[in-house]
Amino acid sequence: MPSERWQQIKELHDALIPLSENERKAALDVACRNDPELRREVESLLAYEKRAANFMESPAYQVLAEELGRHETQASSSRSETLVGQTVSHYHIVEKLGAGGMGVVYKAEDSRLHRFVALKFLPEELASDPQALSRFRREAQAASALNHPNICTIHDVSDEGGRAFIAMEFLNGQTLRRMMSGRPFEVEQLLKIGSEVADALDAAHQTGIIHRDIKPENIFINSRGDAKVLDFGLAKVQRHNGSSSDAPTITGGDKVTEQGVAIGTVAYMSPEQAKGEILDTRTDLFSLGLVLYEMATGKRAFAGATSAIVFASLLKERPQPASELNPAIPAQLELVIGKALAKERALRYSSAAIMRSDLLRVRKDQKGGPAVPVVSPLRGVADAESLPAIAGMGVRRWLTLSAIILFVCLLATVFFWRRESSSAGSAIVEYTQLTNFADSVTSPALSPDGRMLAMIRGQESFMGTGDVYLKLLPDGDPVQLTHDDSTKLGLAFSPDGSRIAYTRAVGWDWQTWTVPVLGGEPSELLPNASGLTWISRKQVMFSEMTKDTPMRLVTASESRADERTIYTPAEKHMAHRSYLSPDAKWILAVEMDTEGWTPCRLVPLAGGSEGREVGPVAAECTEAAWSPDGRWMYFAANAGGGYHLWRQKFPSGRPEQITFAATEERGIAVSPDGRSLVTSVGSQQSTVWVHTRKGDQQVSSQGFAYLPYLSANGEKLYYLVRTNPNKFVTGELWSAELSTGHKEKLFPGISISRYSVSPDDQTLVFTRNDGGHSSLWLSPLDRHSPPKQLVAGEADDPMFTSDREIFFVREEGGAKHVFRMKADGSDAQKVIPEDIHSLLAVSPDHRVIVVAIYSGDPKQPQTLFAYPVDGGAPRILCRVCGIGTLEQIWAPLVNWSRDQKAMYVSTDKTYVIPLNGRALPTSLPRNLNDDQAWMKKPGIRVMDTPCVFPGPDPSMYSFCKVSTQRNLYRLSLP
Amino acid sequence: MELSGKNEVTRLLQAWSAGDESALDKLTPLIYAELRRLAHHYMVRERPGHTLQPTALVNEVYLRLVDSPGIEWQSRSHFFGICARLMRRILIDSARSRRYQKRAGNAVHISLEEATITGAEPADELIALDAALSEFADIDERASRVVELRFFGGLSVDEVANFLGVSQETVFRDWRLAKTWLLRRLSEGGHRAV
Repeated sequence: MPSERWQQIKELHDALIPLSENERKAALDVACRNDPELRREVESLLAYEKRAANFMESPAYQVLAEELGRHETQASSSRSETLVGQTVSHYHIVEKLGAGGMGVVYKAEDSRLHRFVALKFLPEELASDPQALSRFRREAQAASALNHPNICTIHDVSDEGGRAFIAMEFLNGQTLRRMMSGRPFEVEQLLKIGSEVADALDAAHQTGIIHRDIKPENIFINSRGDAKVLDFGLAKVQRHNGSSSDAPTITGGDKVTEQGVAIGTVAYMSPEQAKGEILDTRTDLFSLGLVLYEMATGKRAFAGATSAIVFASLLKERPQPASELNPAIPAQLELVIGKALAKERALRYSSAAIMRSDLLRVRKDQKGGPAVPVVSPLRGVADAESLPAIAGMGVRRWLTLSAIILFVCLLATVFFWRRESSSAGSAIVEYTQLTNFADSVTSPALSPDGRMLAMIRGQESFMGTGDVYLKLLPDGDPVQLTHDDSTKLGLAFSPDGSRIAYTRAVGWDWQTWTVPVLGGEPSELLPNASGLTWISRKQVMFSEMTKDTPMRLVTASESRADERTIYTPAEKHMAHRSYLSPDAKWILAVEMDTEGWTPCRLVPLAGGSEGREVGPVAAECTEAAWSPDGRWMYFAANAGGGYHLWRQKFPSGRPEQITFAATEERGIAVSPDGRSLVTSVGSQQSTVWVHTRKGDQQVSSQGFAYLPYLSANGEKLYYLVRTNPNKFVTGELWSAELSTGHKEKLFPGISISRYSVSPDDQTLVFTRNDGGHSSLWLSPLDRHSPPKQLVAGEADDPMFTSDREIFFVREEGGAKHVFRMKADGSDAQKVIPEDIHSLLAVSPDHRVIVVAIYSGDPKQPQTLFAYPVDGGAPRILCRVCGIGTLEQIWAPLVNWSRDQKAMYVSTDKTYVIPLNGRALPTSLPRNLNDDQAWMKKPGIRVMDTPCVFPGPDPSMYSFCKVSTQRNLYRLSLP
Repeated sequence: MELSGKNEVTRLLQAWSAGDESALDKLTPLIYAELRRLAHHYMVRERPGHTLQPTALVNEVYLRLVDSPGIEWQSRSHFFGICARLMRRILIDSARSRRYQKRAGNAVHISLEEATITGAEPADELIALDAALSEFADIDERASRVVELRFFGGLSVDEVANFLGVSQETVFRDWRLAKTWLLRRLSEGGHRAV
């Protein structure tokens, strides 16, 4: 009989299973109030819940039979030939791993590099066919160029001694086929595998390699759960009967019946493969769609007893909706699969990158926040606005916008979240400026009585050189307390308000120093201690580095006596900062992994727990704070679009954003009365300039000026000036007469986000932003008649391509498309079928457009594609196209010179790429931020400004100058 | 491979279930042979176009072993229950012998359950699992029985419920918790007081 204790554990465990993470915590709080041991036990079991899902789901019988089966195969084939124990080339063969369609696979040790590899020997019947052999070599060599985490790496191709083999990465794990048990996969697992395979395909497709044989047998899941795609391009090698069609691999060989072969072959074919047509990259996407369908439902999309039936079904029928077979499938995922499985190639995903980004977005939606309708790569604010006002994707996307404004110079090119989101502003915050420095102040800290404000002045970001300043509130002048201009971070007052602690960083030697508030010499308090705060009169909490952990949280006395570890973050994570709750039970921990800031965590002061993530989902969380009553947690976090402040009810409310301005907010010091907080607000200033042979001329004198455009005759400069610093995306249009310096506002009161001037300088087309809607308007530049609306509804990115034609972007049913129309607004036609995010540029000859597409990765949201206007395959210009640091990302600016002899691409610098008669550069760095890669491109001119617009002739251009400022503000709390 | 006589198997099974341990020694090679036959079948399944449901596969073994309407089994599920225990014995024995073979240098590369316990060979894992399951039986006898029937016996939730005379929901809950407990036990290695 089960003990009472076990019964208790079991009941609580079962009761918690259907609950969300937060609900579980709450329920545990109640159920285990006086029984921490029970809580530990149940939590420990729950920790295995996810992993246990697949555990033991294949009966022992199957496991053993499979193992035996392998053994059998080995035994039978080793009777004919075994290479075990032999050395081929410099590979010492250790054991046989299996046999597949492409031959026999051995585990071998590379005696030169002392690593294990898998050697795949070509079957003899192919190895003896010279044509097959050369095809094998060619394909394997091509595939060996693929270097991607989700592609099984090919190390070597050889046919030494008449034995053709490939040496490839040795993998631990099993094929996806083996994991398929006729049951649906967990959605998360499916999305992970799906997006990884798509990423692998994308990498291969970019180098012109089509897999041709994507199926569960060719997708390997290693022991860490990562997907590895096998046998790229090899399908092409193995053709039977000398057939010239692109038949996929027939894995199986002679033992399979004729019927079995046919079914197996057809099972993951695309319609074009089945029909024997020429294949392109989209065939792989169809096959991936089939794999995803099977993972989602446990069933083949097209099944039948004979190949003829499968064929017919593949070519004519629509598979049963996945959600009918598995109701757990999110609607968005079903749409992704449906799009991949379109029988017409043109209706499918045009690239693996787009499919991947959709899968990632579904995955992100699954992980947190409300579901957003997806599918097409990009979607405008319409989605965001249909969401609840706070949290989730909508805000995330909206947020990206605000980061973008920081670089308003580039505004016009930036993604399409740029509309004022009235719905997002649920929390109304009032700003009161506390400091007024021309440079930057960061890291605000308030004394316990709330009357003194400490800060670090001088650094541009939150870790840089500077000195500690102190200001008596409300009106005192800031006083400088330290004078060493060393690298500093983090400030905290001692409980009696007499000292301020700060971290001094000398390389990786991080020390805590204190300085008296009344002035005096700073002194070192503790070595190897950073982010120190007082948690009582006698105790401090700080981060320290040890041999084993990059940075963990500890408490101790000021002399480091009684040191106790509170929290050791996951491997390779560093816990940089910590904030104790007013009831002294919880800590908000700020940490970093190898890639940057991670979400904040809530961990118990009692220690012994890894805690859980809090604050905005998947955000870079850099500072946190508590309200004095402990009811609210505050965060400074970048959830995809720049740093803003968030709050969340303790312990498990929804994170909601509380600042939305065009600025960025970092650092939080909550006042003792809990009614306001102090934060460092960053903003940027921008002026527009013209460069001519005579030199540089500043044109704008006040306000934030951006988008400078030189008229065709070079006599005028048009530009936008931001109207309201808190409403970022719009400005008023100005024109300046360069010879006289005369400036005027052209359309006072009209909010414009983008504009374009006709080549004859007569007409202006612009996007008017009004109450969250954008529409296109046309006006003669002499303003003899008022502007008239050209395109109602949601439209943007207008560009004159000639005096008579305009390209633009219009939203239709949630998707955005590039259109062209006559300048009078008639005859609008779609240019490319793809759902894009924004139109960045049209080549002067109107033959190529550059569009931006959301990649699904909030850290690197932009992928740029160049599409031929007359149809044809798009080209990816860059994969990592988001410009900036981890903390700010915006789209690059892309422009052709008006004579189409050069392309201008601006990141934080501008690169001028000679085109030598082509429409596009031969290649851009995969990562636009990679200076080294740029340097390797021949003939490129680098200009040290982030915003350049080519003028009417190569000697003239307009540009922006941008500067950053940070000051402290008091924000009233909602 | 055809079994030499299904009635013989049946008789041995009955004898074993009645407590005659020596019957097992005679049964094992017969079942083992059948296992091999299916294992071979399995390799074929690895190829495209063939998907056999694991439960169906195990049922097939049973049906092949005992395909005689005249046998006095109280019920089909009772028979499965007996078979599950038998299977556990045989499979663990087999795993032990495979481990022995492996030590003797005849390594086989395959993993029991990808995302669970990495590093170990399936044979080792089966043995460890068997030990953990015996431990678990002291804590929750019924749930351990559910594991035996599901994992070693290959029965469906429905069949287990039928056999144990409890609701499917109960079986499902027992199964879920038992898996979690066992996985934790195997992952942590050490003993844990409950």
